[in-house]
Amino acid sequence: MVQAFPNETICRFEGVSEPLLIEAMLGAGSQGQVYKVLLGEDSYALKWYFPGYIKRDKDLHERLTRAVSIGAPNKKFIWPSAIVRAKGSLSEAIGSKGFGYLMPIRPKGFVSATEHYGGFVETTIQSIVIACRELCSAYHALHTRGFCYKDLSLGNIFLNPANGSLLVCDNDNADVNGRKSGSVLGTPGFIAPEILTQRVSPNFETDLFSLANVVFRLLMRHDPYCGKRELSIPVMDSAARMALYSRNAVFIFDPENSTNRPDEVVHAGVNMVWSIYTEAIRELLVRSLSKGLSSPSERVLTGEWIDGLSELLNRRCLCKVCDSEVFMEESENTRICWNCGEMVTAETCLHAGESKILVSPGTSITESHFRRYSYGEDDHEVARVIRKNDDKAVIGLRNCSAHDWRAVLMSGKTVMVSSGQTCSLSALREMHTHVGLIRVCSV
Amino acid sequence: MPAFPNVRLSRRDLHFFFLCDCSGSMAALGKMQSLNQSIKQSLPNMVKVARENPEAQLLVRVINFGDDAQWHHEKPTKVDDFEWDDLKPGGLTAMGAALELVASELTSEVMGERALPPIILLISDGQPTDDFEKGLRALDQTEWGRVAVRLAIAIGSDVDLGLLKRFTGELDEETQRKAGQGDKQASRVLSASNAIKLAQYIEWVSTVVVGSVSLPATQLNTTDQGDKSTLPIVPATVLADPHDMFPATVLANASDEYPATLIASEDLAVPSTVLADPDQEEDVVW
Repeated sequence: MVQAFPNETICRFEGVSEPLLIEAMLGAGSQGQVYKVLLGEDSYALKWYFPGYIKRDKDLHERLTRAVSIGAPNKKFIWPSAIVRAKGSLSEAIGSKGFGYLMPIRPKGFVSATEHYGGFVETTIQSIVIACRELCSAYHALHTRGFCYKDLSLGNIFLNPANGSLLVCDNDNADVNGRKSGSVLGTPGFIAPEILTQRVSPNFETDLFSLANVVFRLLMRHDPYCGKRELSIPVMDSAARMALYSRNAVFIFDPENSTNRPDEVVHAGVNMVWSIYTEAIRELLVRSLSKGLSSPSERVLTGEWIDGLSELLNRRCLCKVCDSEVFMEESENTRICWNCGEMVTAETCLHAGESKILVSPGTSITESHFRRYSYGEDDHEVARVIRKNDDKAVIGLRNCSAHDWRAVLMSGKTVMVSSGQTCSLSALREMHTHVGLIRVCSV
Repeated sequence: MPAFPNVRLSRRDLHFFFLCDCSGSMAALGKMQSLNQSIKQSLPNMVKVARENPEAQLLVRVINFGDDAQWHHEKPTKVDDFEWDDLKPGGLTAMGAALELVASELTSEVMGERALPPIILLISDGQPTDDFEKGLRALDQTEWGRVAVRLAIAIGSDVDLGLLKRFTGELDEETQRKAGQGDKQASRVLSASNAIKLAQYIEWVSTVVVGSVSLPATQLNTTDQGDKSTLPIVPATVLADPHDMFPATVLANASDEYPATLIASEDLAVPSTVLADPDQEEDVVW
């Protein structure tokens, strides 16, 4: 592929005080090419647009300028930090008044969400639910600043399969809510129907549709509108997609319309995975993806998603036989394991703040359990339930914070649990942490 | 260890056909070698695009044509498993027969009941020496041939571009546009006047076009904002512009000095979960 800048070259740009060393091309898409560059001692990514794309997207420079001045809504965005323009001999060499922007380099360990969607990475349901919550939180921060994303799809999201940490990329389409700019519409399958059928400009509500769509795909690894109807479409071209996703769209689990249910053979997976989650989560998905098709006001809000996904995590248990993750319905403490069929029983729970969190290895307590969570802010883990390394039958509560805590045991004795230490759960009555009290209770 | 349920994603086949001119004239000026190299070099990126679009199953096949048309690679092969055998030049230009051969594979019996629009890339450096019309008719008469995304790369200047535009269907579109329907798109007949352009165009078709057929790329709203009577145009296949690329010569300012120190990358906050150390004497706190 011909690169705008050969590797190992030094280029001067307008918009940065020092020259950039172009190290290597990281990738290319339909809008331009992305390079790893050094500015002084720091690594950045440089996205450089194709001249033809700049001509077609007339709003681009104005949008980028606005984005750079607002700054990243929270730490989950790989956000444009500076616009750079070709100048002088570089401009002559490239043959046009090109421009691009600098942004942070994506850290190691993150893969495209399409890797999870395609089943190419190992991960847990907990990690994916955490990723969904971080996505909704990022959107909340974005919308609070008056911006909408406009072009959410799996390709713009990166996640760490080991822990669910998430990053949102390709932020050069984000723009002020409701602006009637003649640029990006979105990706078919993720675009809110009213954008295509009624010429509505992208806004918060259209973002919420795409968000629900992405959450469904991450949780289910399936397209929410791909059911029996999809089987009867021989050629999936753009016209067919328009029909499947907008005018005639029917959510595969629409409670009032069963014409597009998943096929028992071709779509067998999604029926099974749908049953793993709780009724509460299913209701949120149904609302956004059925009623929310035609009524934007029905779409689940970012705060509702964050609360719902947090509660889902609170209901997580592990099957003692096969270690699969099982989610208990509200006020129930038993469920059949979806994987091995054994009965799973929740025996212990933790009370932290106003939350009740079922205990299993991997159960995570975060700052948001203790305070009225400000949606969009960073949330940090403070404690985690872990297995003892040399005796997997023993579980304990680990202090993941930087502070020392005090544990009151069932015997009445008080012991110190320093940062990084773990206290056996069977012996623990309550843990006094720097953010609040954690009490151990029977379910 | 807990694991996310291992369910199979439902996929649709995306058949990609290379139709390659192996006539005697391809031996001149290194054209055959350039073509072989260009296709070989584009395969890793094709694999990457396929992986980014897991709902599409990308299957590659190759026809070569000289005195007649033959399968160079007949079995539809997953792009991850596909290996390129070099083509060899010699003979005439049986382009019509190549179209007939691909048409024979575009029936429902062979393609199955559900797929994505197939992509047919015709690459030639000259004019057909057989019955082109017969081949084109055969292609237009099959269901899947009619919906196929057809592109052509013309190598050099001896090619009849009008004929290739008939293959890609553009002459029909031009007529429609003059009648006031349809939207102007970039031409699907690409003229490669040198080896670099050939490589660029093959790369573009095998990545960007494959990507947009698997999952259409972000659409730009190109319609007039004031006109409420028409909907945003969604053409039969949403294609980016094949001329979105950079000229082959780009120079840096070689006289700039730069300190040659190795840098760590900037980290964003990532919560970490680290397991406790192996247990100590305490059996309650470890």
